[in-house]
Amino acid sequence: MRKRFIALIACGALAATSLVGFAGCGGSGRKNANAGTQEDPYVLKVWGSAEQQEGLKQMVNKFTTEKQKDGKYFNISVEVCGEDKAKENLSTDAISGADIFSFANDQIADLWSYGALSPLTNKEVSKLADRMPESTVNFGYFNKQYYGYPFSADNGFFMYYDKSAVKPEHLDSLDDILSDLEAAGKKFLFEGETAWYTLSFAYGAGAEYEAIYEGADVKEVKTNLNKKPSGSQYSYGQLGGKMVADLVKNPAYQAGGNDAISAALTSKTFGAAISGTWEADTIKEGLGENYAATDLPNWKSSLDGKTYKWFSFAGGKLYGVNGYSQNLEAAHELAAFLVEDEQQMTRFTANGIVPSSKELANDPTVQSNIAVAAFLKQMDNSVVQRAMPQSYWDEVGAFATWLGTFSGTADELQARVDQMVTTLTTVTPVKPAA
Amino acid sequence: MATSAKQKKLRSKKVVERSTNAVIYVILVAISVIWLFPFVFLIMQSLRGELGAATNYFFPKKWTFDNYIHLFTQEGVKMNGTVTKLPDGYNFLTWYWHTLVIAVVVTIVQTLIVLVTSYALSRMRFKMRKPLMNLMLILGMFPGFMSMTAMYFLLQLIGLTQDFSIIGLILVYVGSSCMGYYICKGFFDTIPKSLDEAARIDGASRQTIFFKVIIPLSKPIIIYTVLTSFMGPWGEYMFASLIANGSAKYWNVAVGMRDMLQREMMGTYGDSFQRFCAAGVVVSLPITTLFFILQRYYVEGVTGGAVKG
Amino acid sequence: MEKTVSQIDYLGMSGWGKFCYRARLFFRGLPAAFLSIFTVLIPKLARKVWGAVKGFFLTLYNAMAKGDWKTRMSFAVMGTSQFARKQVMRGIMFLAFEILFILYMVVFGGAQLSLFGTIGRRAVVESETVSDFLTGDDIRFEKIPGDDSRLVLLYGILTMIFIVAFVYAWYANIKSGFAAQQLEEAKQHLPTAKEDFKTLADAQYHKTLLVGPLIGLVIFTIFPIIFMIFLAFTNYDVNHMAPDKLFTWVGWKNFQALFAGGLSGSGGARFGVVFGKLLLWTVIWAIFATFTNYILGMIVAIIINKKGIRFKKLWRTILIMTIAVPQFVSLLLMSKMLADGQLGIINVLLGTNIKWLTDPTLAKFTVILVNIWVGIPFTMLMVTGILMNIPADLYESARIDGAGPVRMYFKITLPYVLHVTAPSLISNFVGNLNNFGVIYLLSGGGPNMSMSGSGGAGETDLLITWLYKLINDKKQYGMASVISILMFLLTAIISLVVYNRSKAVKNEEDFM
Repeated sequence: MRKRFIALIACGALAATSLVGFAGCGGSGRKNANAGTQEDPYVLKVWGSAEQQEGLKQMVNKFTTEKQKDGKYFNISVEVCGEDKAKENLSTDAISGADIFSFANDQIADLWSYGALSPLTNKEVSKLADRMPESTVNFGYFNKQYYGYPFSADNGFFMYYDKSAVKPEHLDSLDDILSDLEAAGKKFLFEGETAWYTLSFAYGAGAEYEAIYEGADVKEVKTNLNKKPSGSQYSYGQLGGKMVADLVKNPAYQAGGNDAISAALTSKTFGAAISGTWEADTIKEGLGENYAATDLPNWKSSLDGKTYKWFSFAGGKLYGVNGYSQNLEAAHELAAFLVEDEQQMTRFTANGIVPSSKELANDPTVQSNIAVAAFLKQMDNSVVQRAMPQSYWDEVGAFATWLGTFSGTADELQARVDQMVTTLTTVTPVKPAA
Repeated sequence: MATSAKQKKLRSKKVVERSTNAVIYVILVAISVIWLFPFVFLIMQSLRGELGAATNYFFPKKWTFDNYIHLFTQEGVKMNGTVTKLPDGYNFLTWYWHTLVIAVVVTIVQTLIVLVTSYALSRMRFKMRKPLMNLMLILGMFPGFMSMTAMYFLLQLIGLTQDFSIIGLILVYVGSSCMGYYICKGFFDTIPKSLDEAARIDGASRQTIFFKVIIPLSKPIIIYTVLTSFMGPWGEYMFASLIANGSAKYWNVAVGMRDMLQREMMGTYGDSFQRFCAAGVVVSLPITTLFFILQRYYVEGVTGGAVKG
Repeated sequence: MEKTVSQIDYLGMSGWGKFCYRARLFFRGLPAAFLSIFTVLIPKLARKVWGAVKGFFLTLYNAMAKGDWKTRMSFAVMGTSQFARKQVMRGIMFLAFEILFILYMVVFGGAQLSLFGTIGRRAVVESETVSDFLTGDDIRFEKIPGDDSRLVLLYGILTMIFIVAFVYAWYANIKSGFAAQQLEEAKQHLPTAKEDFKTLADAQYHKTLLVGPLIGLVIFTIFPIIFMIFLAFTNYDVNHMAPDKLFTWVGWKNFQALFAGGLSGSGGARFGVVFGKLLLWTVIWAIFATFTNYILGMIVAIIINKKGIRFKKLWRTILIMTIAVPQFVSLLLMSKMLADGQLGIINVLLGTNIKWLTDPTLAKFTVILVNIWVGIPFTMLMVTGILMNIPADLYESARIDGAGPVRMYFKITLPYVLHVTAPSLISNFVGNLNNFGVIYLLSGGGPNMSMSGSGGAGETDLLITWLYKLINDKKQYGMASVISILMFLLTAIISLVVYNRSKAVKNEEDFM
């Protein structure tokens, strides 16, 4: 009897699942394309961050009405899903993800590997290139094709400072700024012990890092972090690393991201901070009329006594079209519309997002924004943040943590830099599928 | 002489007793302060009128109820004095409602499953009983979220992601609840077998015994199970986030509140941390109330189950 | 050989002495218990499996050799024997099952199984799009989804589960058919459908009760676990992300990579070293987290329950807040409160600058401290209940013997509580090995390890939180599965040994 009963269970389960299996078979996979007529409009879904929802919706409405005049009908929905979350969702299920989503340019390799990006045609690229600097258009370049529509170029850092605490003639030298701040009893906020910021000194001295991709696979990593610049007896990693280690020990230094900046503003200890445009509103409100921003100062190495530049990363955000979108061409059309100058200006006024357009960068309203002006100035001294494997962030993060407590000799530092470079440049290529 | 010595001894005993009690009271007060501090801080933060992230002072400088009000009126997040409108579906009330529905359904189904499994394993003897108990014990040792990918596609297959994520989530939470039989079975084991035997002599079937003998005696463990299964869904983040696949419409409170914190970290000088705290208070309310009312049963249940366990 | 005392000597010991004696026995027996997994348990399991296999074939052989044509027909057409002997309900069920199964295999399952060998065959194809949006010589390729390796794996496993279920049902059909034949030959009454149903509320009631829960268990626990185990043998990682690319079987390569390094897409990360480090910390954490909670929780419960202490309910209620407020609220708040310097309210109130969560060593203490905050209330509640349950006559007889309160406490209360709660230590320990919530919410595993090649692991990361990072940040599904299999083996062995040992010790003599 027991047997029979189990058979009954199994039977039921089998029946249910086989039915589901058939249904699921038809249900999964890509839906059919729409015709774009009034009865069968193009159905598109757009993901954007919560802050930009309102603006995005207005833009989408404008697009729909404009296209309707040409006899093309759209049914577009906008949903809240910021860059990180979008990447997470697309990694599990690219096929049911949104048709258009925003992403940061350093996420491109991952998104590409999920199949979540559809390439632009040559015509679309040249249209972008007419309006944007080459470096910005290149944010979307990966594996010999262009995969995104840049709508902002604001992923970089520069210096905010308190006008009353730092003398204007000192703005070029990190040492002078630090001693000014120490005298004023104020803090220099910088996240020196995190992966994104820690190598900025080394890059300023001339260090380079490049991951060469073949598909989603890193084929080779080139870096000169353990090499010496001409005329110096110390390597880039040593110079930059020592600077971080020195800075961290400076009495005016305070490790700090968003939380620390807010706290320093409330407790009136804010002297200067290295951060990006996303902190502009906070700092502007906190400092009032003493609010000021400029590009990063130069720094002097305590190892060889030479003065070097301080580089920022340069990156931006793009709209990507899902490679599995059922209305691929319609989605590209909308994405291209979303990065037009007019839309970029709307985004700038509403959220302070730095436009990627050449013309808008010189627009007086954009230039009059202190933070944006400082950012644009910094961009002359920056390295483009290309697609980097996760191992870069892991390894440089570990190095940054190590630097936080480092107080040994230059040789020990070089040994640690060598280790880092070994780990960074170790690649295990995927064997080509037979 | 003798009596006074005895009195002295008694008195000194009293002194010792009193001083130990005093020490204990000091310890208890210290413990209370430590344990309550985070919660009082949570309430203070939720009543704070100033904008900005977590503060390093205890009492708000400006007291306000706005954070609670805005949570429910769905007023936009404050940034630099201006209020930006929140997107559609980005609604705490909806998330709260979702979670409540999920929690109630999960509570009912899970309690049933646990009771039924525990009864079978405690009162009935069959060939697969021991292997089954061992199997469940062993299965419980696999890291849970390794199953996330498989679970997602399973639910997608039946169409229970996104639009139907509530049902999907209920299934995920309820799916393996029979593995939580341990404490309840321990409790059933403490109910004397002689009761069953007496009933069987009167001609009662196993089913009758379950409903007429065991269940009426199991109030503490039922309440214990209800309490624990009701609490679970409120704090669950990972599956909820995965199955909703992006859309704020389908979130539960944990995912929504996590998002509040994340947006605050992204640098908006707003009031979303205060809202997170207010939401935390609102979420804790039903569970805490339930707990206070049913505390006695919880203790009886957990002891009854653990003693034998 | 374990040194045991005689029954009489044992009974002559005090409660405390008995406890110490048992504890000694317990630890002395641990190594032997570990060995016994290999010398006793595995052979026993093997014998059981062998017995089951033998029984399976023996039944089939008997049915074939001694069965009449009806029984023999059941080998091919399920339910024949039952139909022929007028057990129509049973017959219908078996037959329907067979038909459905064949249908499923033909239409769907067979095709899926054929893909299983390579986990999918057809990759994504790019084809030209035709659209009025494109003008002139613009060309764009659109993706046409191919096989999704994850789904192939999923359907394959489902199909295998069905095959197992079918074989079992087929076997049950033959066994039940043959049993019916034997009953018929013995001129005995064959159970009717109605009688079958009646037993389901009585003698067979456990089946009625367990159907639902077990189906849930198979679908939502066992099936995902099989899926995960299979993943450990694939190269599902950042370079083989389904649905865009196929992943395939790589054998034991992931296991090798854990110790030898060289996993694609992971740079020079040294998984083996990190695994070793984190394993050590996980075990240390589990020991501390378990015992601190246990001992301190017990002390708190005992002092609250001390005679003469007032407001007992108030103290308990205060502690219970930690249970009632969801951990993701309280722990996320805690992590903010413990921030460095001027940022964290705790440092500000104490007037210190303690790096609670950013100093590598201190962070480990902090997570254990906060875990005490989380865990004490649970122990306290449990012990409170036990204290109320101590039989009053124990105290009564002690009082007659002239024992004071202190002596009574050490002679009766403490040994009793320890005796009753010791088993819960095991489940707590296993729970702490996999305590994801506290670490993830409080420290996120941070601060980063400063070692080169740490691959993003943090100082307070437990194996389980590291696993989460491997999946979420690095998409190393294959490697993550390997680690979770190893973690499972670890927890399973530890709990088996400890559990068997404590049972052995407990059985020797019950308390008092």
